[in-house]
Order: sequence, then C-alpha cells, then structure tokens
Amino acid sequence: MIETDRVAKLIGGRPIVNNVTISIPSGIVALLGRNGAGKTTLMRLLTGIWKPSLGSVHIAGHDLASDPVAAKRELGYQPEHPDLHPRMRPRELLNFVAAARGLARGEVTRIADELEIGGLLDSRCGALSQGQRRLVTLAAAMIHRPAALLLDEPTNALDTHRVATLKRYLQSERAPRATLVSTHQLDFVVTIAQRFILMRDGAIVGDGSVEELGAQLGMPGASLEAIVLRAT
Amino acid sequence: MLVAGVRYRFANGLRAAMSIWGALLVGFAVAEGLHAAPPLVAWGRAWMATPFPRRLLLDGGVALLFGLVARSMFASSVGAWGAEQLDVLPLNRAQRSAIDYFSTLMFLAPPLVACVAVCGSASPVFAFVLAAGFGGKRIRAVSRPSSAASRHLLPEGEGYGWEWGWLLRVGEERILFALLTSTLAAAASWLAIRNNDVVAPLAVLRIESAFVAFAAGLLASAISAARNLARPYRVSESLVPVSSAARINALLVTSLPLMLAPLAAVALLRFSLGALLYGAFSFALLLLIGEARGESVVMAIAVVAAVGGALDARVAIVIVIAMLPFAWRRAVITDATRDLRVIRGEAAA
Repeated sequence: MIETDRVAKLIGGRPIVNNVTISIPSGIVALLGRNGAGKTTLMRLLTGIWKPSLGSVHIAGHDLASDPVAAKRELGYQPEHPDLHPRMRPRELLNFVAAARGLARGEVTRIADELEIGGLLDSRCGALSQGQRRLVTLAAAMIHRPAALLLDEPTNALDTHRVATLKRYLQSERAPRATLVSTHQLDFVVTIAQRFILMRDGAIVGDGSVEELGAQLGMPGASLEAIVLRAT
Repeated sequence: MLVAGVRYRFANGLRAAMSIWGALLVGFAVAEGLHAAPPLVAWGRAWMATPFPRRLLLDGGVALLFGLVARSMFASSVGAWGAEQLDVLPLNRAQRSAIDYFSTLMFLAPPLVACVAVCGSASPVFAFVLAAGFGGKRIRAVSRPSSAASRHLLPEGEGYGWEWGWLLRVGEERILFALLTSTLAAAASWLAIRNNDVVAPLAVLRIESAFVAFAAGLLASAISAARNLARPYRVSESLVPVSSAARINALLVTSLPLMLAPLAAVALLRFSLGALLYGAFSFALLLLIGEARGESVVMAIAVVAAVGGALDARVAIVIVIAMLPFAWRRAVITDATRDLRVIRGEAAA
C-alpha cells in the first residue's frame, strides 16, 4: 500500500533521507527516531509535498511521480503542524477537501461525527485549541476513507479522551488499510502498532515488531523504549 | 472545483490579504479630500499616454510589480498548512494553476478598480491579467520552516559577509524577484514620467517617492519573509544580551546591501536625490517593522507611505516619523542579530 524504493532526499548536498526502502501492505506501523532523524522529511516524500532526489514512492500501486493524482486519491495526510488560518472555519476547509476529492457535502458531517468535532465546524479556527485544530486536520486527512494514511505526531496536544477516540478509530473497521504514524509517544503507538521502523540520521536502522527488534539488537525481551534508546 | 478552490483561498487568507488594499483605497480617499490626487492621476494618464512599444515595458513593469505583491501577500497571509493541503489533494496541474490564477485575479481586483478609475481607461486590465499570471505562478505559502530544509543553510564563517549570502539563500527567489521587480518598476515609472508632458514637474518628485517607497516595502517584505524562515534557529533572547544599537546596526548592515540594486537603478535613471533618500529611509524602517510585525504589515505601511509620498513631502515625513515607534519597539523587544550570533555559535560548535 505504501512503498518506497531506495528513496533519498538531498538538501544542500547532504542526505536528509538516505536510501530508504519500506513496504507497508497493511496495518499500523510506527516511525520512530530522534528529533532530526528524518521522519518528517520521509513523510513529506511519501505525500509528494517534496520530491525525492533519488528513488521512487508508490501509494496503492500508483507511482507518486508519474501518476500523482491517482496516488493522492488513495492517500490521507495529517501534517505535524495544524496551521489553519485563524479566520477560516473547519467547515470551509472540509467542504473544499470534500469537493476536491469528489465527495458529497454529507461526508463532512459524517467525519465530524466520527471524530466528535461536529460542534467545532462553524467556529473560527483561531478560536480553537491546538488539539481541536489537530482534530480538524485529522478529519481532512480521513474524510475520503484513504487506503493509506500518514499521521505526523497525531497525539500532540490531544487530551486523553481524544487520544482514546483516535485509537479506537485507527483500530476500527473504518480505519485505512495501511497507516504510518510518526511520533515520539511510545506509550501511544506501542498499544496500536504491530510494526516499528526506527530511523537514525536519515536511514532505517531497525524494522519489525518489538520482539524482532529486540532479537536484531541482541536485546531479547527488551521494552520498546529501551530498544529506541539503544538503536536511535 | 475552481469555485471551491478560490473560496478555500478566500477563507484561508485571501480575504485578509485583500484587506491590505484598504490602506491604498483610504489613501486615495484622503488624497481626494486634500485635493492632492493629481500626481497619481497624472501618473495614470502618463501610463496611458506612453506610446507603443514603450507602453509594453510599462505594462510589464506594473504587472510584475503587482504580481510579486500578490505572491508576497499570499505567502504571508495564507499560512503554511493551506499550501500543504493543496499539495496532498488529487488536483492536476491545470486545476492547481486555475485556482492560483483566479485567486490572484480576485486579490488584484481592488487595485485594478482603483487603476481603472485613476487612468480613466479599461486599459490597465491587460496589465492586471498579466499580473495574475506572474503572481499565480507557484503562488503558495512559504512552507513552515523545516529543520531538514533549513539546517543546511546554517551560515559558516565570521562577520556580516555570510549573513548577506545566507539571507539570499534562505529568501531564494522572493528576494531576487523583489530586486528585479523594484528595478523594473522604477524603470517603468521613469519611462512614464519622462516621455510625455502630461506630468507636472512638481508631481514628478511625488511619483518617484511613491514608487521608491513601494519598492522599498516590497523588498523589506521579502527580506522579512526570508528571516522568518530562520525562526527554528531563533532562541530565547535572554541567552545573548546585545545592546539595542548593536541590534539595529546588524540588521541594517545585513540587509541594506540588498537595497543597493534598485537604488542604483533609480539613481542611474536620474531619479531625484530626495526620492532616493526617502526610499532608503523607508526601507530601513520597514525592515525593522517587518522583524516585529510581519511582512503583511510591512506591505500595508509601504502602501500608505507610497500614497503619502505621492501626496505631499510633508505627509511622507509625518508617515516616516510615525513608523519610528514601531521600529524602535522592534529593536528593544527582539533581535535578529542575537539570533544570528547564536546560530553562529551553534555552527561553530
């Protein structure tokens, strides 16, 4: 569903993402690493916001470079920063996203109900809390029921109830077929992800379940936190 | 889709960006009230009276100027996520271009109406249709500062030399485009007022002042945007205490050279020394204000300063003096120099 083949991104001659090959056919996968490891850059390469210097990205079988429209139809993306214009209303944003994706206006109400943000739709974004804005961007990312979903720090600023709602959604039948979550919240992903990709200095240094990673690193039975601290 | 896209742009910053033109329209209203509008009207008539093919250069200069203004105001008003949202939607190139083009055309509607009124002709429409093309091309918000994208831009070396180059690299096309556009605008204005006799000598200085102040605002806005991209590397000012004088000095020394090209062009085109000084002084103050208040405020003040310059030298002086508290506030509260020194320290480490 989400596939990269030796993707690299050079900025100013330096590799920010270096020779990354991943394949996520289904399930929830966590992307972990230190600040500056290249997680957000990889996310931007997977969305087409940035073009890779080398390699290729495929979303649901569509090459993001040669067939971006088809690839983006299958893709949902929640950016790290929910920068919504303070004067814009969530309904205006979601109506536009629905129109761009060829959806009926009723889908806006549906996703708002599912994420429990129906009461926020007609407020100014400037009046929303950081967590509420994040939920609005999440709704924009999931309104079309994407086959592949990319979440960049999805739990930042969310309260316990909202995190639980998100968790339920990602584990429900309505969830995307493949989800990649970039986060530093290990206690969140350890309960929902089946697989963990570890990044360091733009490269992948580990890929597998907690047990598999522990075995790879010679740390059998280690916790995810211990593995991340050691490997990244 | 097109209508939805333009409405999205409107909700997502276009409305706020358009409100900046309010300053210009208020300026026109004030000018009418003071019976001081003739310089602007004279410039408009001069524009219309310039013979072909010189007129094409004039049209192109106006189009470039307004096109860049459109792009700059969009960048400062729309916000980063608005652009990312467009990037991840399944829109083809034609759809994206159409949304950008018609959003820009809508954004340019207020000055277009003003120009048509001043010139007494529908001819400026051509320049504005062109301007929407310049402004709509890749018109988008400046991406949120990304650590990956700007890390490699960390300066190396000592002194102010690297800071100039660093600003140019961070600002990329916006600064270079501002330089080109302000120079072209100056040339176009010179063509208009030197090649026909509808402009009275007294009006010339005012028109020059207006254009130079506007170009100064344009450039100051672009530089402010570039400096904003460095914000990930800006830290608490308490880390490095620097005197206000040193802050102002460093900011001006860092940025003034970028103003040299349009000022030199103005000088070569035999614009008056008064207009030159007015433009340089406006630029310096606008730069300081841009650090404190953002690029869109710079553009709003530049428009007011330009209209003031066109009205009367005394009005211009009052406007420039009114800018001083903003500039001083900037110098006292925060400081780019401190940030740059910290960056230098980090780079050395």
